[in-house]
Amino acid sequence: MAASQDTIEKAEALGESYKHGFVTEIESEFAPKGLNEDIVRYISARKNEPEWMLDWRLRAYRRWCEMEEPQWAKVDFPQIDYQDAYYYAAPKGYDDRPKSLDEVDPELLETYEKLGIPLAEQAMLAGVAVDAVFDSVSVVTTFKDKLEEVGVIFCSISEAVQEHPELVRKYLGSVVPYSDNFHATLNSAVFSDGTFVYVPEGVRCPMELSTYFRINAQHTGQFERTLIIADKGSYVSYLEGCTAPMRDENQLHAAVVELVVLDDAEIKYSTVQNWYPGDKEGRGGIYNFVTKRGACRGRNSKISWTQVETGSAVTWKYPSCILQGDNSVGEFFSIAITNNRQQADTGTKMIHLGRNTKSRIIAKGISAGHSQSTYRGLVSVHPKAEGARNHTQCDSLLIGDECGAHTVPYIEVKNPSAQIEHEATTSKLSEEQLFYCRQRGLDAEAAVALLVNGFCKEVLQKLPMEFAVEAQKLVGVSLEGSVG
Amino acid sequence: MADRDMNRDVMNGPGMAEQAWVDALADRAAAGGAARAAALTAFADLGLPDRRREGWRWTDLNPLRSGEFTTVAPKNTGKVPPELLSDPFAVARGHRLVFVNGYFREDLSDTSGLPEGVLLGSLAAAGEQCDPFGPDTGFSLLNQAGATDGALVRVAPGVALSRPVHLQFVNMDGGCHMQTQVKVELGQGARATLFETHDGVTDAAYFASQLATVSLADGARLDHYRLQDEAKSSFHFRDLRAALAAQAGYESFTLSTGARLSRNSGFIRFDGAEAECGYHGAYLLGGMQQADTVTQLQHAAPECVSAQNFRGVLDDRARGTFQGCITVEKPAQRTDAQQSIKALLLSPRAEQDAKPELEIFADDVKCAHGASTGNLDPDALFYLRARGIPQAQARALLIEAFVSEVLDNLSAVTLPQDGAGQLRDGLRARMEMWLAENGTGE
Repeated sequence: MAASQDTIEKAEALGESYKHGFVTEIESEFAPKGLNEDIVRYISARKNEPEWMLDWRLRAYRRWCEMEEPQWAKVDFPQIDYQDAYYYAAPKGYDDRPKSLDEVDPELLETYEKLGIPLAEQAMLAGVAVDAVFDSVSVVTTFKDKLEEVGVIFCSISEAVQEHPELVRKYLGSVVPYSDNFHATLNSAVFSDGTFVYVPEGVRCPMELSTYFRINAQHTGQFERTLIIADKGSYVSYLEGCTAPMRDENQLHAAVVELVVLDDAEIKYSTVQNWYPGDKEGRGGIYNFVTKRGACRGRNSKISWTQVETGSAVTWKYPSCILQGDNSVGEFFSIAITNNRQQADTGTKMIHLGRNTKSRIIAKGISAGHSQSTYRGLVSVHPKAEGARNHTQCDSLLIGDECGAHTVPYIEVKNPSAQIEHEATTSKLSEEQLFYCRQRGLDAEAAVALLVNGFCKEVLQKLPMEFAVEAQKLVGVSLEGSVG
Repeated sequence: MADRDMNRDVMNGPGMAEQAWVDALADRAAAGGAARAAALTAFADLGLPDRRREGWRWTDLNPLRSGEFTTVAPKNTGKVPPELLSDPFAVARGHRLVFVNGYFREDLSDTSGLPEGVLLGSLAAAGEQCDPFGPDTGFSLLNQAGATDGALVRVAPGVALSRPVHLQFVNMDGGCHMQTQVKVELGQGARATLFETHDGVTDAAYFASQLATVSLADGARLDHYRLQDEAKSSFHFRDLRAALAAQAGYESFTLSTGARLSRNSGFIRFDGAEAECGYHGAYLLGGMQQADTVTQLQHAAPECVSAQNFRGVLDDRARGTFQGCITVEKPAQRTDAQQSIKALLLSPRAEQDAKPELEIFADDVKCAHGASTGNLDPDALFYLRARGIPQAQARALLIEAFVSEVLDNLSAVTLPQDGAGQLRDGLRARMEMWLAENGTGE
């Protein structure tokens, strides 16, 4: 309750403006505008990549040229001109990168501070290792020593290509192949940077790992690539949070996240996505086309996706689990909030291949204003997935009569021992509950925030502590102006 | 929206298969007036759907592309097995229209004693055709271009048909196609009950297609029960378009046991406030059979209620597919829409796919859908066996109970006296027949 009240006050204080909308004036080094083989080679050369990496990128690029942009999602946006964007931007001075936090460009640090993420402070106080991605190049990596002690590799993917090529070569593209889909293929060709995590056998990662992505330089699409490998019997919890400055032009973001989980290991992947959603009329805002997929390769392995999607003008995102190992478990907990003209088409895929695999899906969609929110998911049980079990619950909440909420689940069952359940409901905010809250002195917005927080409680509880509070606040802020 | 998506990526012009159909139907379309010719032209442009189209991703239509069925079925004046002509549901003796190979058989039909204000007969004789609303598909256009005949049921305002109408479609030849239509129009406050049966009396493969339009005026009520028991090697495609005006009521139930591949597609639009629709079905399949169910309920008016309950029982290598979409448009406030699809997989190679879809643009609505798939509860089986019931019988009991969840809730309000009870008994008898033949072994 206190958090919700806090949210409302903050939202009121901010008025119409986007909390995280500002541009940091740091000179960026751009690759020339547009996309062709030379740009791919340029990116690869800038990053000093080995031959095999360049080959892989080029294969992806050539494949991408033959692909068509997918049209099936329930989202509507103007045609993107992929030649009218920069595909590489690095904060200047990358070559002589800072050796410690003190050497970091103070303006950069200030940016983080404005975002409410005082990097150094948070890293120390919260015990979180932060690999902050500012635009495309990792600027600071902290807590590395501590992680190195237990053998966890936590670095940028460019670094991993240099220092752990055997791991990158083995796993990169093994879950999301370079030819997977239009956006993932584009990412494979031009990915700028991202995070690499390897947790060795039997290690429980001593802290929550986190990355804050931020889109900064104008006209720069960002193409992160994340690869997390949990070796046998290990555990890691990874947090990803995003904010972006205000911008008039739509920006493209096509990230790829790959998770590999071996025997008895577990990855918990949490996301709070709060990129600029565009203004009230739907101008500006981020296009967020993400491919996230995890493979439960080993026995008893587990992947848990938790996401709170409140930002972006257009979201296209389906974190998935391939449950290959026997007894493996996939989970997907999601909150998608859309307001004004936002559009979100999000959901998950659970592919049951191994025996006694289990999956659970809880998706909460909240639409307000003129927004459209779609849950799209697939639960597939293959013939050999004896004893597979799935439970899916999709709930939609509509606030106002100009918005839409849609549910498009696909269920494919090829094994009789599977138990598959799908439930979906759509409802509006209860007038009675609103009245009850208002009667007790809450104003309309506080009441809505409270009720919506209650609606998403099941998912919010799945977030790590560090995120839970932030997410709860976000729920309120995102719905600002939806009632009145 | 299955059909909307279907039109999104139209095939690049007609291929060989389409051309074969166009050639086969050209004469009939040319002779049948402008509407038929236009439908054939539109078909040539749109083509047959394929798996790349969203609404057809689970259905392989290659057998229909082979050109095997492009011949129009011959008129067949042969003897129809008498057991087919008995009342399928043992309800009160009804009026009867019989179509063999898609042609009206007056000698087998009985339209005596119709109340005033009821038109019941052959569409061709009346010089009419179905005029479907909603998105065209390759098959709906093909049917409009080439349908040979069909049933016309037109009831004047305020008239109640006290006896049920039995529409019987019997197919007796293979290697050809039978295209029929059913056109139902009920005036304000009119009431009627339809029993529709589709039977095959041949072992050879054929393609039976039916386009049905149902138009219910204010306060009209139609109960519509169907039994699809086509020959096991055949293809049965049915495309229903129903429009409900204010306070109209429509109840539909289809029991499918026949055909190698059947597609039962229903598009129901709520045009007037407070209309009600129960759209249900069950399929009992074995062998290599596939039943494809598509429902599209479009709520365009406020305060309408819809319920959909489907049950699938799949043995051997049978496959059930279900695509159900509920659309609630902005004016359709206070809609109450419910959908449930449950399937039993009795064999390790059976398959069930489902896509229960909601598309909601109004905020004051109650919409829910549920889908579940599983096999027979081993505990329940054990319980029955512990009480001395043999395995096969125990399985049959549980399967029957599973399907009865839908059967028991049919209201059949337009039937006189204990009509609803007799209807359920009739349907249950069909189910027991199926269980005796399939599904009881291990």
